[in-house]
This record gives sequence, C-alpha cells and structure tokens, in this order.
Amino acid sequence: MSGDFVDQWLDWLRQQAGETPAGGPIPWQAGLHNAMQQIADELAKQSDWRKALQKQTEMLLADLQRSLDQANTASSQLAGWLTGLAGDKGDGQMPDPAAMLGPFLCQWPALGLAACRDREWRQLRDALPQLQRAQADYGVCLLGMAEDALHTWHRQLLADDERPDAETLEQVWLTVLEEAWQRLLRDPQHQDCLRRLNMTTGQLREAGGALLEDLLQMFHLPTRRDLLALRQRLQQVRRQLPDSDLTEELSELRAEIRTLRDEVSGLQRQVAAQRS
Amino acid sequence: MTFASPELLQALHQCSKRQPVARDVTPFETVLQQAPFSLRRYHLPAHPPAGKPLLLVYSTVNRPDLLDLSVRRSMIRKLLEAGRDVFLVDWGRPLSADCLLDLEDYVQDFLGRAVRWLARRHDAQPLDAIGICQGGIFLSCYAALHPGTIGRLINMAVPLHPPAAGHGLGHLAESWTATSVADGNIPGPLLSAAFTALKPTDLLIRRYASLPAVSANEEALDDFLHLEAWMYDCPDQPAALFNQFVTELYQQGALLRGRLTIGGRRVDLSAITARVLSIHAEQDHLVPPAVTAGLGEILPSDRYRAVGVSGGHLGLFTGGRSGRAVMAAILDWLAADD
Repeated sequence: MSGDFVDQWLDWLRQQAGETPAGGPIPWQAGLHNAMQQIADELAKQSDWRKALQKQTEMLLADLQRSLDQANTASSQLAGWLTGLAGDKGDGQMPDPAAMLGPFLCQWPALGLAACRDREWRQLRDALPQLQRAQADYGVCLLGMAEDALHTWHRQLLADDERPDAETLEQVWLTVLEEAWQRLLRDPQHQDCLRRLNMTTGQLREAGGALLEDLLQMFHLPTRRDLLALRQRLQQVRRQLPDSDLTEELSELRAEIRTLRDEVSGLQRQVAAQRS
Repeated sequence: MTFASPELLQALHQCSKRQPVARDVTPFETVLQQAPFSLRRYHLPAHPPAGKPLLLVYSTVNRPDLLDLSVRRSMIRKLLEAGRDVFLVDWGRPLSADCLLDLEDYVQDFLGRAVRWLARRHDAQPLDAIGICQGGIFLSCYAALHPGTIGRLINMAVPLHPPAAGHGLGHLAESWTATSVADGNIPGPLLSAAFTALKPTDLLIRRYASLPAVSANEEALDDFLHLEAWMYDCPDQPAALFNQFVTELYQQGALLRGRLTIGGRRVDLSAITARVLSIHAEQDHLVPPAVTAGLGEILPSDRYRAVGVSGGHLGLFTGGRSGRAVMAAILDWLAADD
C-alpha cells in the first residue's frame, strides 16, 4: 500500500462516495457498509420490520445459492472444455475447438515414441473432474457456513425489540459470521473437503506438469526434474562444506603451531649448546 | 449514502503518506551468511555490542522485525539495554532454488553454523538462546541433538505438540496434502491468507474499521502500520521444509512422540541438558497454551519452568502489557544464575 497506487485508489473511492449506487466492484468493507445500509433502509420503510427482515434474509440466502451455482457452472464449463481437449467424447455440448482437437490429441500419443504420452493425457483427464467435484463440495461447505451465519443473524436480530440500524446489522453479522467460520474450521467434514481440494489440485498440477516436462525434454529444454537434480547435488555439497570461518581458524592454529615449533627448536638448540 | 466515511478516507490518506514504514529499527551487522540464512549481531546506536551472547531464533513464516517493530516496542532493543550481546538468526527469503531445504538444513546446517560460530568466540560456553514459535522447534531439536551446546533455552509460544489441542492452525494443517517438491516453494501470500483465514472478520474488517480512531494518534498509527507491514510479509516457504513441518510435526506430532528424525538421527527431547523456560500467551489462537506443553513431562522439574501471560500471540513480542511481563520474566530468569 504505497505511493501513487494508494492515492489513485483513494481518488477512485472518493468518486464513488455520494448518492450514486455503483454497479462496479467496491472495496469489501465499504461494500458491507453499503449492503447493511440498504437493508436498514428497507426495514425502515416497512411497517413490520420483522417481516421485512425475514424477506431480506431469504433474498440473501437465494443470492448465496445463486453465486454458488454460477461458480459451479463456470467451473463445470472449464472442466468440460479441458476434458474434451484431453480426448474425452464428453456430452456433445462441448465447444467446437475442444471437440475437434480432443479426438485428434487422443490419437496422437499412440504414434511411435510418443505412446507414453497417452498415460499422461489420461491422468490429466481423470484429475479434472475430481478437482471439479472437490471444488463443488467445498462450495457446499462454504454455503452451509454462510446459511448457518445468516440464520443466526436473523434469529439474533429478531430477539431484540427494536428495529436494528445499519451499524447493528453489520456488527451482529460480523460476530455471527466469525462464529460460523470458527465452527466450520473445526468441522471434520470441512477438513475433509479442504483436504480433497488440496489433494486434487496437487494431482492436476502433477498430471499437467508431467506432460509438460516430457514435452520440454523432447526439445532438450531444461525441465524441473533437471533443476531438482541439480539442486540436490548442490545441497549435498553445501552440507559437506566446513564452516566458513573454520579455514581461517585452522590457518591461525597452523601459524601458532609453527611459532611453537620454532620456539621448541630454539630451546633444543640452546640445550644442545649448553651440553656441548 | 457513502461508500467510505470522510474519517476513513482521511485515515487512509495518512497511511498512504507514511508508507513505506521503516522496518528493523535497531542497527545490526551480518556476521555470518550462508544464503538464505544469515546471522545478525545487534547493537544500540553509538554503542558497540557487548555482554553475554544471546541467540534469538525466529520462525521462517514471517520476517523477524516483529521483534524490532519500533524503538518503543522492540524486544531486541530491550535485551540490548539489559546488557546482552544479541544475535538473531535471519532465515532470509528462500528462492525457488531453495525448495529442497528441509529440517536437516535448518537445524543441523544453518543453526549449527550459528551456534558453532558463537561457541568458537565465547570459549565454547553453553549458549543462552530464545526460540520463537517455529524457531523454538529448531532450537529444541538442536539442543536435543547436540546436548551441552545450549545452556539456557527460552521457548516463546513454541508449538511442540500441535495435536495436543484443537485449534485453527491445527485444523488447517490437518487438511494439508504434501506437495511435490518439484512444484516449488509454498507461496508466502498463501500463508498470509491462511493466517488471515483463522480470524477473517477481525483481520479483514474490524481491524480496518478501527483505523480512523487509530489514526488520531500518530504513535498508534505507526504501530498499526508496522504491524500491518510485518503481517502480510510472509516469505515463500521451502517446499521440503514446509511439507515436513506440517505433516510430521503438525499432523503426526512426531517431535514430542520421539519419532522425528533429522539427518538420519532421531530427535530425543529428553537428551536436552539445557534449563528451559517456556512462555505462552493464555489467549494465543495460533499456538494455544496446550500445544506448547510437553517438555515439562520430559525434563526434570528443576530444569523446566512454564510461564503464561495474559493476551494473544503477538502481544508476547510487541511490547505491550504482556510483552513487558514477558521481558521481565525472561530477564529475571536469565539473571537468576548469571
């Protein structure tokens, strides 16, 4: 957060201030204030604020579900396209380029030396729907948490006799959201969803990475495997290096030994001279 | 209806003017280096370093300037003022070329070089050392693998046994699947996001909501910005170290169970010959008190003492009320048989 960028951002924020409800993205905190103010205004307009709050809560829940559905649709379209590209026949609704390219790519690995690519294409193709499922499941976890928070928010606001203002709406929301989030973090089902999301992301990266590595190697370009092997060798060498100041200390010790030897030789000469 | 209050806009302008904030306020020189690791030696302005050496070992997940946020709140400065010759292990900012660095490199190699460097310059006397969070794990392992090298060990919020209690970081760690080292380091921003995810409304909303009030006081605003700069500056984590740390220490609790091996040697904490002071914060959401315990059952009672102070994780280091209590406890404990 420094310099021109912040000033530009502040100018933009100032432009957004006022009566104009902006359609574009707004900073999250200002967005929260705005949303809560809109709800408070709506409650103020209605004779029965409790009924209005019920309606607002239902609308927020519907919005949440819609956001999740949109995210799932986008993810599904992307996965469908990539799956098609990876050679699957799909459901016949895939975009044309993938539909044309996929079967071709599926044939290509079977040719000669590239036959081994087939396994990697299949790994990639399997990894995609798994990631998509994990993403969808994680979305359900988040939706459950948000629903939990919204229901609690609704209940807590209803428990008060007075119609809540924007500030109360926001503070109660922040408290219940934090509590719901903490419950989610402790929930073994959430941990399982997150674990699967991490795992499937890793599998997809691995499958894509392996394919890319082999292709690079075919063109004699350095790959991550090559770099890793090099790093391993450097690591072994470094671990065997003596402390940097040890050499200096050894030199000092050698010099001291030389001095001591000289002194001993001198003493020996003196003794020999006395004896003679 | 406005999107941001005039007070908030004013506060944001003040923040903008004060950027970038100065970090690492106490002067130091680098006395040893083996990238990405280095060893710093601090001194007070216009004073040469002096006194009995004290080695600080911080965590790899953030930069160590938490211990030196400002002149008023610097733990390092207070230790210097108490007459100690303060050294700090700076783990640096690992590059992608460092993705293979693991516990063996951090404990046996880097930390080992620092301890040996100090020992050679102080007649091989056992060293006084403070381990902070993950840094305390490194130091405890080193003290166990090299008995006699560390004379007095102060562990501050050290997660010796994360599975001992349910907590946010432990839950997130449970869901971690080890990455392929070839995929590179764990991005620092991912770690920042994970820490933020432990208290999202507090850290993303309430913290900034208080900004107008904070900005009315220049000192408070400086403290806010220093902490902000520190909080979102997580270096990338070497993949091998991070995977090992999360799976073996956080998921399996291998250290306290005596199952952790470093460079082929089993880490047996009962081999520690140092006297140990363990400090924890009672309301620490990152390292709850229960996960810092364990050494008390392993070491004889005359060599182990645990101290809890009121407050959260950061308060231990940033010089507020709990920070002052911690500093007093450390200095008293060190003075007891100096």
